[in-house]
Amino acid sequence: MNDSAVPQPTDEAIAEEVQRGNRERYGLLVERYEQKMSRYVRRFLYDADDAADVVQDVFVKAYINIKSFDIKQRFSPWMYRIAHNECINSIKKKKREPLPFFDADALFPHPVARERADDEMQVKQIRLALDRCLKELDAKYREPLILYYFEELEYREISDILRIPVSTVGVRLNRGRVILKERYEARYGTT
Amino acid sequence: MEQPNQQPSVKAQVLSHIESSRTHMRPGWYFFFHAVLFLLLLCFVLGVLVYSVSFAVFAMQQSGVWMLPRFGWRGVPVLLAALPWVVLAIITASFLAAEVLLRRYAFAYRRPMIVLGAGVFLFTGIGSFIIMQVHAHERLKRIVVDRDVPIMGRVYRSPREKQFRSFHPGVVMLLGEDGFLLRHARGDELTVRVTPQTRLAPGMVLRIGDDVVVLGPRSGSIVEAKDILFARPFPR
Repeated sequence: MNDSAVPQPTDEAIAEEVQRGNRERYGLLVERYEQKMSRYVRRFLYDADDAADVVQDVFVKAYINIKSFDIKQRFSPWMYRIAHNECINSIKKKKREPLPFFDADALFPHPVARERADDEMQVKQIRLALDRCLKELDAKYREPLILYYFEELEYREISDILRIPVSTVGVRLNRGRVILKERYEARYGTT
Repeated sequence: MEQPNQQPSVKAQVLSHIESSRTHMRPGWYFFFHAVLFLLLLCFVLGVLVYSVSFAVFAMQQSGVWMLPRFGWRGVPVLLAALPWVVLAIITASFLAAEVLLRRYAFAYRRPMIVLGAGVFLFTGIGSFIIMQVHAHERLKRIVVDRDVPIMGRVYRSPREKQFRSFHPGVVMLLGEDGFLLRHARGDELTVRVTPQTRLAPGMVLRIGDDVVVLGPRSGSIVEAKDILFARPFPR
């Protein structure tokens, strides 16, 4: 029999089983998301020291609150939202960088920035620049760039994770790219 | 073969946490009650907002301050001094609290804050309008003042009792050669002096029983009228 033909359960289906009390199935969710969460947390916090602890906290928090997950929604943004909150808590606890209290970007509507169809070369260049210049970007630009270019999420998903307007996601990505380019060129020269 | 001092994987650590009973899944009812409490809090804040706005309008009508814009720029300093600032502070705080609470919901955070603010503003406007139309504050005032309810009685009495140095609403009681006797909305009597510099509305003829508003400095029980306007009848 060909096992690869057996359809894999969706994240939402597994979450539902966990909600019903099947703790063992949670291990499958952890397996699926471990790499994503590690990648996201390491990049957002750009500090490997406590990234592993934060990732563990993310999965523990997700388990504790699994019954708050609506199985009709997508699991991935819900998981990233928990990771975002844990990262923010870590930043605040360790006073790594100032976090703005008021978000002026979210105050007014912006012309809707369409999701760009960056070509593969551009994406590679941006990822390289991001990897090298992460520390030099403010959290409010760093995070949407990571979610878009490394986690490959859509604007609406990023909006749900960060709880900001969809148009603001576009604004932050545009500004983030400009700042990233400036920082990169200041350090490595123009390419 | 696993090395003895190798760090366990994240999955192993998380499952170990769960299995060792150090970590428990929160029950479904916890989130249900959390959602209900949150909704109640939101309703409370919106209720305070609607009530405060309608009360601010009511208080300004009661004190006659509502009329000050009709005096143009001359009425502005008095208006600023006469606004119910405590109520306005409560309105501002409630408005901001409502915005913060509403941003928990996708329909709110996916849109710019100004759009949400406009929605809250509209909701408050409609709610306050309904309250004013059913004269809820007048009815409540009658109850709390007649029964001398603590705090609320004082709150509803205070707009009428408020004293302004240069703003005097009342009823014309007696006409004289150079002025008239005004029974203030608070109940005391003032002598209003009308001079050639007093600004009256074109064709204005004062009669006994007219409800008026006088703008001018007061010294004792005498007012030097700078402006006089007809007002709609004050509640007696």
